[in-house]
Amino acid sequence: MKSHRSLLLLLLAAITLYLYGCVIPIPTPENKVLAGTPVTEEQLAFIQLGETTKESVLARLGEPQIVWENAHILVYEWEVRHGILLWAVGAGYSGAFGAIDLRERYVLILQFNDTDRLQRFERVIRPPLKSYGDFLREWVNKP
Amino acid sequence: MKLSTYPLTRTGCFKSMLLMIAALVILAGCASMDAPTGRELEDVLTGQKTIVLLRVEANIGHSPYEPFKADLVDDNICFGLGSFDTGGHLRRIENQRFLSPESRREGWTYMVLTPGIYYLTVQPARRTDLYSYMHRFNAPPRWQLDIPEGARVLYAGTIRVSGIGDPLMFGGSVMREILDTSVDGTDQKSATTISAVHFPYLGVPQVFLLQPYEGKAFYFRSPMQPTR
Repeated sequence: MKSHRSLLLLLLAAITLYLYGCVIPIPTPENKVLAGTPVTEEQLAFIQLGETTKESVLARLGEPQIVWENAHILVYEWEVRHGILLWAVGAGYSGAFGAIDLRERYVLILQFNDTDRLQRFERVIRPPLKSYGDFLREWVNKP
Repeated sequence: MKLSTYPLTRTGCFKSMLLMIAALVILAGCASMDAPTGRELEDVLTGQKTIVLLRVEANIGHSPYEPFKADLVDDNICFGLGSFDTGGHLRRIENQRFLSPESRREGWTYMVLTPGIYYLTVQPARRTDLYSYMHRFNAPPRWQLDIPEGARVLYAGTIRVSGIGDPLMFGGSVMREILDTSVDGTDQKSATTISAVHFPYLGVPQVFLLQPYEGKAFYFRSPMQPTR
């Protein structure tokens, strides 16, 4: 039994020595857009709660990514790079390395009332592990 | 004694391996027969979900191409579906569902979905890395599927797919690229027959054909609270 355990440990040590790798995350400024068109704070300066209409938002910001009809919601979405993940894997005499963009998903959510006047809006980061539907429902039901 | 049994054991082992391979090959073609569950049918009866029937008719050149035959690991034609939960992003349907081996051979598939608006696309089987393949599902063609409240069974149309293919080593061919697609409602009678066979208590399927969709925005009509 003891010899089996030693053998297992030895095997694990051998595998660890044979296959090794590392990842290094490097934060970057959020100035590279990976998808969509960002909506800046300046672009939202025209907005007045209770006054701004859906038509004027569409005219200023263009076509949204999502139109949730029964909740009177428009969603604009864009992705920026907020870091780079450098990775390297070695195995014996060979290996591989590369870089992956770390993405931050921004959304601008605008909710209108029954007369299509802006009721509330928020620019938020969408959590990567939550479904879009759950995320929007939570936002809508948030007091 | 050992010398005489050795070749027999090897032969036996070889036969077992052949049998296992044959069984796997057979199972690969029918493993995903998947009738709606009792819970799904209960949801359909209470109007919370809808059974959506779809047919695919595919061709490579002028030769018919069986859409749901697994020539490679995947079915020959695979679907991508975008929903409220994916924010419209079309994701591959991992387990395409079929009501029977016969209907599968005829190109019928089905989905059980909550009423609302969905986006659908088709792609040939994967022959590239997973990342590139998943990316393809967000490329055209794209259709909008609008499921009205209260529909129990719905026929969403017949998708006609024509593409170009590559020959396979042991005969036949596999689709490489889709060149043209269209949707029509010519199989409405067959949809009614299939529905009558598998869901006799759900009535005649309603017809809401897939609509080509080229817009940027994804429109949704989803309840404020999550549905099961």
